[in-house]
Amino acid sequence: MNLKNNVLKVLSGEKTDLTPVISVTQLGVVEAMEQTDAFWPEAHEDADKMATLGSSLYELVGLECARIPFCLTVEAEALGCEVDLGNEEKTPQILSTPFKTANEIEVPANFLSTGRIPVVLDAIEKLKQKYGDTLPIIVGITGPFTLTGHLLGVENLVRYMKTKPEKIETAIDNSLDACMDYAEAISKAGPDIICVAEPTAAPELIDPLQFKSMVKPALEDLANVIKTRKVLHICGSTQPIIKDMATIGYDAISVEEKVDIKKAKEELEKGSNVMKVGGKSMPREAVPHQRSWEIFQQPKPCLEELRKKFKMKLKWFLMPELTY
Amino acid sequence: MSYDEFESKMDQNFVAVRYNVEVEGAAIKPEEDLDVQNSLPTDEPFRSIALSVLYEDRDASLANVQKALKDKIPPIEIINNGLMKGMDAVNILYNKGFYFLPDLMLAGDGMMEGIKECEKVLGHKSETKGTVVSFVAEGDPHDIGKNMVVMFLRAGGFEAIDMGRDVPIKDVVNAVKEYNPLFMTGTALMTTTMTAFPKIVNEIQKEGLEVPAIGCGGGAVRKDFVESFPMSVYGVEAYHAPKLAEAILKDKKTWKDLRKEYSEIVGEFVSEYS
Repeated sequence: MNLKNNVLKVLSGEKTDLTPVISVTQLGVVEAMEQTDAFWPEAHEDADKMATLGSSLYELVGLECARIPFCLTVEAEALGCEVDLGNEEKTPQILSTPFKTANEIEVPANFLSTGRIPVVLDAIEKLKQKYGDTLPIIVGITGPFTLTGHLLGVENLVRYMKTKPEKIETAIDNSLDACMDYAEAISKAGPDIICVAEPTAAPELIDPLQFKSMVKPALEDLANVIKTRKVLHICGSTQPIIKDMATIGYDAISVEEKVDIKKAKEELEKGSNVMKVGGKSMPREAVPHQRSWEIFQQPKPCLEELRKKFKMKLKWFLMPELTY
Repeated sequence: MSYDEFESKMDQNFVAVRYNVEVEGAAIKPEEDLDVQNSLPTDEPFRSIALSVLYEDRDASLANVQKALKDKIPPIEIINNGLMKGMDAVNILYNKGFYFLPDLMLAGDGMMEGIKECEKVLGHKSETKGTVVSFVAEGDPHDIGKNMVVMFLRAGGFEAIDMGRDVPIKDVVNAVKEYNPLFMTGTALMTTTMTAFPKIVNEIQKEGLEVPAIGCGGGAVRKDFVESFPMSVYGVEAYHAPKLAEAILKDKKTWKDLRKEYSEIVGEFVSEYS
């Protein structure tokens, strides 16, 4: 069976015999780093190690995709933020930003050759060479609103949403330019799926109405330049914005366990032009409090178990215990 | 055609949305909500102070507090009967889904501005009921939740030690030794970092130390996870923190009691605990 075609079929809304088991969010786990000798933080800035770790769960336990990179700081760093790459258990964090106001945000001419952007592009190439048409390759990028949060500070961003919304619109526009350039470059490199992660736009942080009025249009523009299959991921209790998420123009949306998948599907199926939902909730209910690695080490071959168990409920699922 | 079908077909660029009184009900001001009405003070100057917090107006809050202080209103009364009541009303609207995080933050700014002004007159912190230590789990850079918790604790009269974000486990344990806190709060946004909580409890126990309770909460943290290790209680909202600390202080509640009586202690229906 061709794993790549299987996923692409699901994303086109076609029926498949086998439910794909993939993760559109980051999948670097410590156990896999140990077995493949591709550790964080090196795997964040070395294309070979990034490709190795990105496909490690396929090689080791049969997860049906490769996915890179492992953080949401690539774009912010290329725009001038100082980033701490962390260690093998700690994801990269933004330490400081050069921007103080919305107007200052600007995309430098050499943006696409700055920081770790060339590394990601290179790693896509390496994965394509290795897996060609057999394994779906997923690349994660940062959404324009989340990038704005990185550039201005999330706390400032959330306050300004109320006090200076017009400034934030400018900031989102400027960040969107960077996102679009990056998305175009990745589309050219040719992975199978691009996943836009927009965690800062979760209803825990901003008013769902502002998601609709300010974030949704930017995500729409971004979707238009993505030439591969596209998935939108937002963390948190996304129930209030799930309809908006589903009508932006992405092939699929990805939500967290806090969302009642059954209810969400019912709600979405009422609308005419909606699609599939993935969630990472079910596996954790089945095996609570376990790291994804442990789930894969269950006595029964867990991939098949999970596939059977969730076939009725989900078209595909995200691995638990992994954010971003 | 239903509205849902219609919405997906129309070109949003050419639609002006206007408020439909028939569908959405008459527009009401924040202070006209029934529960808010019951919680807001009716006498001046407390009412206008509370309203300036409710309207997230930092400048008005400061001006109203300054005016009240000039009129020789005791600062403690201004804090408890004015500023805090305003924040209570904000929490009510947040709970009902009318207000969101930005509103909490901006109203909190207004409240803290007023409290600072009162403390200037008092010459010291309003009152320190006890020490609470707040930290963000190791590896986690997301600190909005912790900042809210610290704000609510300080407003509630507790000495909140803010350890910042991405706090190493050993630093948390050292803080327990140094401050002997009556309550602790730990927050994490990511499922990968929330695993620090049981490790911290483990280390605290190894050192032979004890904390009456550690309130754990934030993004991906769930109740069943928190209850899978001892000494902890799952915190649902940031503004519950001072209420839990109060229960430990006044009624000598333990983490076991907090888990059992959470809803009664915070004084509202909490779906996670029902």
